[in-house]
Amino acid sequence: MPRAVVVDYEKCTGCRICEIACSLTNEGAVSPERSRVRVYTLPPGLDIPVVCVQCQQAPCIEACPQKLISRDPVTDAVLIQEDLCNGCGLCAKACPAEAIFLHPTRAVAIKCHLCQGEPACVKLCPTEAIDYYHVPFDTRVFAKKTEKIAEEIRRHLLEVPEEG
Amino acid sequence: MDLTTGEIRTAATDAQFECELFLGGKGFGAVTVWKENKPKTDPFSPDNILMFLTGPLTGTLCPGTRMCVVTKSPLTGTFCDSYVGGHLGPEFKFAGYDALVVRGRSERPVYLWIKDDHVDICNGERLWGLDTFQTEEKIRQEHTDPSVRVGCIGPAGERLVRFAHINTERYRQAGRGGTGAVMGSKNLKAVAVKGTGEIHAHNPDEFNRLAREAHSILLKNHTIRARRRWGTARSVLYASDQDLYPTRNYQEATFEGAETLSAEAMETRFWVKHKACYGCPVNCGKLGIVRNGPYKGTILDGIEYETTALLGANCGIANYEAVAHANMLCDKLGLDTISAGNVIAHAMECYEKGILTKEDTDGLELRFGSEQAMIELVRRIAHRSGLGDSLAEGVKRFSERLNGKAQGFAMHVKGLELPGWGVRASPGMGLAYATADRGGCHTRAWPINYELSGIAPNGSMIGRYSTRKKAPIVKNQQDYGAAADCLVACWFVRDAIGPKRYVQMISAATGMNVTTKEFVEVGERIWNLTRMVNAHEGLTMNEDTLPKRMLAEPLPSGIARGRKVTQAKLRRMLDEYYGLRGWDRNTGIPTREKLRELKLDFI
Repeated sequence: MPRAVVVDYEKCTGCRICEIACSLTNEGAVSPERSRVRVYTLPPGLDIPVVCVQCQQAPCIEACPQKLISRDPVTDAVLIQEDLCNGCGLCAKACPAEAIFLHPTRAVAIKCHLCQGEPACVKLCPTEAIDYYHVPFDTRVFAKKTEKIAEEIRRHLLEVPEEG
Repeated sequence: MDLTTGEIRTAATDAQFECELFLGGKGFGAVTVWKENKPKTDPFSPDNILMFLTGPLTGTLCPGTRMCVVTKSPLTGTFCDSYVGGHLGPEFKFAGYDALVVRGRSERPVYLWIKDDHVDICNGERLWGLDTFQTEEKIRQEHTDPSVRVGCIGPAGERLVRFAHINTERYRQAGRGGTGAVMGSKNLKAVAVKGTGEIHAHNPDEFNRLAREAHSILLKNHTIRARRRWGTARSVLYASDQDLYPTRNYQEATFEGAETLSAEAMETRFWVKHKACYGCPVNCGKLGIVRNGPYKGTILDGIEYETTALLGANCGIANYEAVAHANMLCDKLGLDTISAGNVIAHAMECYEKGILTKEDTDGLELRFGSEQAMIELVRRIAHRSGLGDSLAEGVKRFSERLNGKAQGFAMHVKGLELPGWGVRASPGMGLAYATADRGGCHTRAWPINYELSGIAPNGSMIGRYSTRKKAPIVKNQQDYGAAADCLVACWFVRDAIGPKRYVQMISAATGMNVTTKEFVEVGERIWNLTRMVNAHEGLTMNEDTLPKRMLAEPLPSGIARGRKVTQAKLRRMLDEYYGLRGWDRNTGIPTREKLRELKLDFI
């Protein structure tokens, strides 16, 4: 059964502690531009964490011209071989969730690799807005553009019916 | 950055002088004001400096660090530090800066664009006139990056409304003291920052262990748990029950409509989700939407306690939906909700007493309880139209124009409008207002907790309405508060985290060795420095006072009915306070010895 970091958008407060945890764990420093999870706040104040959902049918795997992206058999994470990556960015373009990023100084693509099965972001999230567990279906359904998710959440939380 | 000449310069932070003696945030701001702002400089003159400051823990895993804005206030004419959460402070750090110092005045509207080493003064003509929500969005669109952080002013700041704020992330403001008007006077519409750098701690393992513990301490703390759920609005019923809730321009302190302004009402009918500032697990922000009625569709992160008090009870308004709407307008147009509510309530009382007529209000029935009048005045103040133009000067200047008829109920200290806590049922809070460096402010010391519990921080018994033992509580809170304001630690986490852990985090983050005693001493140093800034601006101990209403009119209702602070009581507390501070009891000015002891020899 697939496992992934999954997001509850209504619980996310936009605190970005996940970004801090991620960049500290993976880069040894606090740096939003080096984090593999990013929280965007879209009008009128909706907080949308963007993180790889580890699609079963992963377009990034197909898109890599060097075949450097593969699935970890133990954790189910979709992994990039960062030491060989040349940062061409085609995987990032192919990602339906826009959850692959280019590192600002190293010319490589970076993405969530589930921290060997113990995602640092999940441990520090104060609201359980991001969690990590088995999902009984292809998580690909969650892989949507940030604006689209924000629009869905906006409709769900902030739309009041017309009178009459 | 000099907006007159366009000169941009980067300077290293002075590790010995600035860091060790003043730490960051408020400390940097205070010492820079002392060195660079000449006394009697007009707050709107190009010479007035405006600073955006971070602290040594900003942009780290340490929870609850914010940004500090320091300038000379157009309300008080003296030192002003104003704080804001959101994400702008950390972004400065990611771009590589501890602080931004702006001086001068641009000929044309501009905004600043900072991306790492790249700093630009950009054309701001197309932003001028936009509200704060539009400005932030437009800048993000133009830079095609939703993670650009923006601090900006609305029409109120452009028109130099003396209590205009600087807005960020729509719902977060450096609200108090008119920092937005200073931006407006410089033709500076916005500051936009994007940083791609990294923040490293000196001793990362130790630092991150301490910071992680700070996170779990916060999540377990009972006060914080209530704040996570209900935000600052949890205080509404408490304040009203305890006769502390400003009602109808502070005539009373318990409000019959408190229940419909309370957290309970907003939680069940208004809020849809929690909101947080950068790196903070407390999520005291609450996003809500008005679902029915004339204000239907109003979306807001709020209503904060202070706004329920000032735009609500203080204007006699019990309908949170109307208050939410006015709050949203203030955020958008660029007004501090505290000063706005205070000044509107003052105008309402003037109208009811016949000091203002229908002619003065352009036909507006300016009565307590009128939602329409309150909301309309918010608009008029922001645009400086009609009566709004004179109210935009703040309650002190406005009341002075009314030939002495309204000064007794102009609710300010040193020109800064009082916030949402009455003091007749809490005299220690009166001392806190009277002595706060930036004027009538509730966030320099807040002894109310101790007064109500009857137990001082040192464990000794105190009487709620007594003046005894209040001065040391206020002094110690001010000192620790000023130190925490250097970090720039949020009020809502600093007590739970405590000085000891902050000191450990500062040491692990920076490699500087700081003891708890030295940390609190930084606060005391700053408190004496801002006192000297104020003295140079011409403020004397006569300004360490309270509005006449607090001193002369007893509370007419509630559990503290009949109480007032009285001039003699305030005098007694002040006397003890000056003594504890090592200030001259006859002038209220720090003694030479005190300044030397605090390493302020350069004064």
